[in-house]
Amino acid sequence: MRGSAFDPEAAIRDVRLRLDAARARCAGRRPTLFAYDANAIQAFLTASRALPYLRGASERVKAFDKAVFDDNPGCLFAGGGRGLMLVTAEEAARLADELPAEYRKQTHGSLAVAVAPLGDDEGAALKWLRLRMVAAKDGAVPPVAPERSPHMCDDCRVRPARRQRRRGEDRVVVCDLCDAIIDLGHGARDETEVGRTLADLSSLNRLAVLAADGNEMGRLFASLERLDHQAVVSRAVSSVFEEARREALSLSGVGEDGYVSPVAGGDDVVIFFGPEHAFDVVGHLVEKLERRVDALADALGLPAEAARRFRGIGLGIGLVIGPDHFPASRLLQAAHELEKSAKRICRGDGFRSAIDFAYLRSGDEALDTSNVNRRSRIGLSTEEGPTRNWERLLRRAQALQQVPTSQRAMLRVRPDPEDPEAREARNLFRYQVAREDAWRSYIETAGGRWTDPDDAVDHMPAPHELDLARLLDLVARRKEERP
Amino acid sequence: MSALEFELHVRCPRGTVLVGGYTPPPGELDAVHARYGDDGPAIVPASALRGALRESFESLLRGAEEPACCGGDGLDPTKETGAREPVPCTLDGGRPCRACRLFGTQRAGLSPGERAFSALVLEDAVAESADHPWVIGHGVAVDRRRRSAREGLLFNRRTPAPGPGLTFVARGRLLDPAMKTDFEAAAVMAQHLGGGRSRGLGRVDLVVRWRETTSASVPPIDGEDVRIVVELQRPACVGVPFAHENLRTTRREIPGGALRGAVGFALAERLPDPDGDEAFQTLVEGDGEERGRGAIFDFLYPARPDAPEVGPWPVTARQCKVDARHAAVDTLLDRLAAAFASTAEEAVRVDDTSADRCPDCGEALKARQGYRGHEGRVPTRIVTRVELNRRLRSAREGRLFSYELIAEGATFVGSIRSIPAGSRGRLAEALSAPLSLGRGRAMGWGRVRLRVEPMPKRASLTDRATAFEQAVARRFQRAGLAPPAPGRLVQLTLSSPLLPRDGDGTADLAAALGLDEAACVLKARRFGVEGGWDQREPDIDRQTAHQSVAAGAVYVFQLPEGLTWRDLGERIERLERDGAGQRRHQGFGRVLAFDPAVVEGERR
Repeated sequence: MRGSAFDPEAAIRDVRLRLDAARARCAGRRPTLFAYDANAIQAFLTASRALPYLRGASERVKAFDKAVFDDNPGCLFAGGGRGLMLVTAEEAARLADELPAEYRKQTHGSLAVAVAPLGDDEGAALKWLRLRMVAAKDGAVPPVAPERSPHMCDDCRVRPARRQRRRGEDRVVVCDLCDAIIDLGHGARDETEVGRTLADLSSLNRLAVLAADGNEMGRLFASLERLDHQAVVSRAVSSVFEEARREALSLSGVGEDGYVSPVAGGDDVVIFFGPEHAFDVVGHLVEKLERRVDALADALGLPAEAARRFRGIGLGIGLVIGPDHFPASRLLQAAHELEKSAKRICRGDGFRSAIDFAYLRSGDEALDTSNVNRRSRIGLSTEEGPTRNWERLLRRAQALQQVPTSQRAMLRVRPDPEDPEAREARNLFRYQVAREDAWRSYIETAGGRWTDPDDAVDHMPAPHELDLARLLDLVARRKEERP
Repeated sequence: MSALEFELHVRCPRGTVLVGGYTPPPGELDAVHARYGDDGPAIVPASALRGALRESFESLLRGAEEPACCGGDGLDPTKETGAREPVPCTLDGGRPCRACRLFGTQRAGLSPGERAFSALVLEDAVAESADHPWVIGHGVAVDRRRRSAREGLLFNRRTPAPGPGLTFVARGRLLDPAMKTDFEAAAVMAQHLGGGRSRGLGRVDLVVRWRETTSASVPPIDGEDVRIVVELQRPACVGVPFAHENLRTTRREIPGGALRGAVGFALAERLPDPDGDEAFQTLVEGDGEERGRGAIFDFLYPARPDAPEVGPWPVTARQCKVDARHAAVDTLLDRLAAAFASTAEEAVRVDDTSADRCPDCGEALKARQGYRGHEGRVPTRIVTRVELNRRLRSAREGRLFSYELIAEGATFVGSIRSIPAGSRGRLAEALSAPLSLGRGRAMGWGRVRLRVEPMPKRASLTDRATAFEQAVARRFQRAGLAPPAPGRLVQLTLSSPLLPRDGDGTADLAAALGLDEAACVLKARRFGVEGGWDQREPDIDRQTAHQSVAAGAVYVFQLPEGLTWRDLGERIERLERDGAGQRRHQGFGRVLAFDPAVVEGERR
């Protein structure tokens, strides 16, 4: 396919070759479907704030998947800590013992495995496998138990430190696992990574964290009743998400040293980066992903209904701009909550892709994304194409940015409409609009008439617009610092 | 001698105060003075009060040529030069300096005979007038070289309106009455609080008013088991075993060990010879390999005071991904049916009849959040602070850190069970004392208002087992499967984390039922970590961490042919009463058999 490293024909050919070979091997020997899925993989990938760890942890999961794929000819797909194989019952039993033990050794984590006999009905066997995987996720072998020690690892802080390392000017002590993962992280990059943490990606002590996930992927995979379709779509999804992420970062001008993306495959996108790139990355990511998906949908040899679902793949995006001293896992948790919040309007209002975002300040409490009327959820595209909602919101935020911050502050403390002081607050706002060009310009950009006192009040900026304006302030200050 | 109670009045004779970092500044504001909630009263956080008092007291001591370290760092600023790592203070002839005795020093545990880390318990000071007005002030950072405003550095701060009527009141206790004069001297000397001194902020007068000792009234405890309802009067931070580098989070529930510890401290403070008091010692006797004689202090979970059952939902419970108000479901019986499916066709029938979508809107499901008998989230806030180097009077490099607190007003429900008859009076005495749960007792964090109620009655084991059996039969019938023989399944839910002796808890539960581990036909569990820390134990090496099976885990055992749950009735009841695994006296390993939430979830 033009512009994409993913070749659907080659993928289909390879899957069918592997499948035929696996079937031949299983002939007369109880063919069995085998699947694995890593538990709590995000916690492992983001256990530290050190960039070498964040890069190395992803590499470790990728290496595990690659080894499984290479060592098992019956493996149809392996990526993102998940895999699907067609093997004999004996092989399945062996793998059910070996893979969780190996994964535990490599990551100290827990790997769920499920098996289902394959009969004539592939669709039924796949359903059985899925059912068993649900139970297996909660029944998997426990992760390695934590230990206490007077000297805990400076990276993960949950295991005893065993080794000393240099980190920039400092000496740190790390556990065996972090030590090995940091080595992998260095291998993936270079020695300049030593000593860098998430704070080195931030601007003015703010870090952007983007978490995105494909919409309705569960329904898509549940609709695939053939093994080859499952495998081809898994590979396609993994590839297009990876490619879209790389392209979005490149087009947004984020250098290789300017981000870390601790994801090991599948339909997840996670990026830690400088907030000045946030607007560009969001726009490019949606556009590139949807374009790639549209181009691939009819090339995967899927039944019409599955192809329609594939074509409808969009993104739920959560974007957090937060304090850079927070743990990576905490910021990511907030981004995931926003991602789920964004998905609500995809389902409810028919958007293909959507975003929800928040500008967290030091001291902000945990996000409450449960409000069904949350106004920071923005639909980015529909089946027909981009909505331009994001651009419109950005224009309003840019207009708001021109308003002096002392006057923007006034909006945050406007009293409740039921409050007796509400009238006075509205009058004050009208007064500011009347005397300040920037306010008038904002009201017009927001589609209101500033000459109408009530309409002006109806177009007072919402909290999320103030958040975006603040982000724009930050971008401007960053540009002043580093033109 | 018993503790002295006092009120500390913080008056602003002119101007106002600004203590940032406690309340998140909304929108375009750069700093907001601390307050409870979004629209609660202004406060002066206990940490700021203690800091101001300590700084004044240290100066006073140095003026009198007495040893005093800097903020508890154990280093004598008059003798040491250059930066050194803090150490436990021993400046006063091997003992901590007087400032450290009053305000605390850096150490992991108490010395023998000590009852608290510092002699002073001082809570947040709360504005006397809850509706004191607030104002926004603007300022511009000045470029001192150009002697003009710096571009883009307008800042906005929100503070209580200045005025002579602005007064805050903090409650507290002085645990060592011999330090009364020291504390009064520190209060007289302290004249500034918080930031913005160069802009005229933070000028205060502190006045100590001693009070009569008060006790809450708690009715006598006349039963073996009681229900405990607590309401947080002050924010609480309940320790987690492993803290992040720059963020200390809080648990959302209060472990039984925290309540047990608070009861122990309260009695140790009041009794002349706590170590020789048999009623006290029996009350807090721990478990060995077997259940001990002491009471079981169960976990306190967020809940409405009248909630019939408290604790996390079973791991198998699911809720709508889109709208948490939609009906929740439980997937245990779906999983059970799937586990009993022996062909792909049967599995498809189970799948086709499983609850994999929201019954109200058809959307996808996710793990059920929150707690039984509790709606919404447990309210929390994050407080951000900078560690100060008092010698250099500047922030320590890289020491911006935040901690998470459960907000005041949150309600928790739990129980104290198996209370020894001879210790009930002592327990009532402890529960009437001022109790603080979790960390930061010296700052009054976690102070609770506590109510003791009779234990509510649960449905009988027979009723619950029958309802479960019927639900299983209905579910299997719906999938066209033959249900398991009646009475042969025993379902268990963990109401609190389980500290297994080995493995994932299956062996502990199977042993309690007199079964083989292989009898477990289904388990749905997650894992967590539980710490162990005794403040009386100074050796940090003795702090422990154990893998736990998280509360909400679900197990189903299939009994051998010929046995039904009725044959195991006594064992099941004992398991519900005594729990399983280790540290049951601290509420770990509590078990609920034939969980009604599973049946309710299936009905929906």
